[in-house]
Amino acid sequence: MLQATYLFSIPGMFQKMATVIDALRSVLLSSGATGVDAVNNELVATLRLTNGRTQTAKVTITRGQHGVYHVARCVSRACIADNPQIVRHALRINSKYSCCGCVLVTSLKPPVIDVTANVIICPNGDFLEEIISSLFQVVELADRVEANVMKQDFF
Amino acid sequence: MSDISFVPENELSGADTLQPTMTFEAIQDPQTEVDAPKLLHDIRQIVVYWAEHREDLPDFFSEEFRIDRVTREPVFILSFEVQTVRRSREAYTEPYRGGPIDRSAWRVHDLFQLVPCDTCVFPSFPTEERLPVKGQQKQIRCAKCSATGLLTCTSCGGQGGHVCEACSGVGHGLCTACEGAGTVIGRNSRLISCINCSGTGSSQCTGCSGNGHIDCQDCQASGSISCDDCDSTGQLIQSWQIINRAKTSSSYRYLGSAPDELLPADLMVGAGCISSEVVDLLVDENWQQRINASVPKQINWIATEEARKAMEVATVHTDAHSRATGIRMGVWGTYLYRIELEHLGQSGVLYLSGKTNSITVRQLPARPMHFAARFLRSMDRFFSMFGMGAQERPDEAYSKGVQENQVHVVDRKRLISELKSFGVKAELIDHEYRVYVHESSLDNLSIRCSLRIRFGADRKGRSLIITSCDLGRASRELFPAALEMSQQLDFGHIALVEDPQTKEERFELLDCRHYENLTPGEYYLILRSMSSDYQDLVENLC
Repeated sequence: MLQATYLFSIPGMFQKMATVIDALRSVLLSSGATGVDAVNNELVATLRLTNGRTQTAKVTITRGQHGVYHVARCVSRACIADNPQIVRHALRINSKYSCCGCVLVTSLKPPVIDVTANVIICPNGDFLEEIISSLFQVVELADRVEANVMKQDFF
Repeated sequence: MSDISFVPENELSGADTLQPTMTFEAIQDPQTEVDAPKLLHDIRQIVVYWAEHREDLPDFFSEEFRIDRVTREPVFILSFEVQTVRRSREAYTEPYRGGPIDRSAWRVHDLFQLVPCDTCVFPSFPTEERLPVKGQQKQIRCAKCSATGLLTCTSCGGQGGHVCEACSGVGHGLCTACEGAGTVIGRNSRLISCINCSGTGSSQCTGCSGNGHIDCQDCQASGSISCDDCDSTGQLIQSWQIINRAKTSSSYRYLGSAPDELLPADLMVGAGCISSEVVDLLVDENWQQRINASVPKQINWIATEEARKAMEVATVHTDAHSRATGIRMGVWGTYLYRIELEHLGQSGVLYLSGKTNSITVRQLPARPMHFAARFLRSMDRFFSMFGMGAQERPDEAYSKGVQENQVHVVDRKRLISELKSFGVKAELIDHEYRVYVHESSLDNLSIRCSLRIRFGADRKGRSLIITSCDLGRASRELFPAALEMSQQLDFGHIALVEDPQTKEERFELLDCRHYENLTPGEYYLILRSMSSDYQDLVENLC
């Protein structure tokens, strides 16, 4: 298992983040991802779901805001938020006990609902398995939201 | 009857979802198969914990058993308790030291009306108490001392003393120096007069100092002692008391079907009370109607029949001085889980019920009897003690913590307890942890927010740790802002939840993640991050 020690103990952290992304990329390719593209500290993967559909997700590694840790942020687009009911529905989805949840992205026009999951990356932590797990949960939830709410794929 | 064991403390497991609040309507629910991951996960944790406290299970049972099937059915129990009281009247006397005497006659002679009766105490064990009755007091002479207040001293027979046994009453004895001769042999072998007795041959008795008798210590040589009945007053006051003996008779009956091997009284442990009625039989003659009114019509006839039976049993040996004083009916409900499990090809069946998560054994998996297999398994255990086995047994601190209601039964790593080393204060309240995160460097140890920590399971049965804190009442205009702010958070999302009591919608910061791979250090950072975000969220959303 890849250890987060790489990120913290050695100078050139950015370079090591790319190492994590590389490791993630190879795991995803071996686990049946239909497309994986990695650049620096970001990775975009297209995954095939159990229902046969495909969904794209992005993994970004960023520095934590409140301490010495990093966060692997898994994001997958669900739908456009073109009415208040969708926002309310997304907030209700967040109350379900799931590792991922919905967020509203207003920087885009029109605003969209993304499904996100954040994995903590600490020194000596086993996080790769957790990122992969979160990634699959994110795309599954995004697909469900998309299918239930919008019935259309905007991604 | 199969044996029953309980998880030590009430409701310590935290597996509250196993026993939701029951209503009468649930009586129509059929037996259903349990497939919800959270329920299966909780049941597994309870069985694991239970197994660790038993010695009659196969080795490594708690790590290796597999739950094949779990079914759930509602079980209702009708309980009746009848309190019977037996009373008798008895006179008693006390020394009379003056003062008023209540000679008033009793208005009634019914023992149950003379002194009010605690009609509905329902004691667990038969009790006996003495209740004083006012009135009908009278002053009498003390018969024991013939109203003199004095009794002849039994030690000396009224003589005030007794003859000295050492000297037989003569007051002197033979001189111990010359043995009565009056002379002793001197230095020059001549007889000389005894200086001890001055040649008389006798000396004063040391036992009686020469008096020949010894004074009685009990009566101080007076020959009489004070009467203990009247305390030397010579007069007594006679009063009355009622001896009150109360006991409770109990009977239980299933409403609907339930496994034959489980007694209703056993399932009562931890079952929730759905309806109860307590009737004072000395006051209320329409007790059957009251009991009927407290249960649904479908079980009216059962309640009536059972109440009648309970009353018959309780009053079968009663007489004029005995009465049934109170009756208490209760309808209790619990979900009964039938757990079919398997361990190395051997099957077992357990029942789980009540909020105390009591486990009743129907069938235990047999121990493997093959010597070689047992030897190999013992070796596995030996290696696992040094961390070389595939699976390790849970540590004793965990078991102790669960017993003392400090550790949630699902929290096998004691993740929350370990947070104490980071200065986080955590306590287990009502199936969930409450955690207070401090920011020592920023706020000088002020409490920033209180977080709730619960446990759940995902669809694959993996443990989830759910962290949340309330952000206040949710207003519709802030829905987009709240969802947008979720994007800025390192951990957790803003959720819209409904308060189960007030039904109002509230914002909640909620984080859910897998428990198994989480370390205390990581979780502390997550809690700190959520605590820091909490301040901003409250300011912006409330």
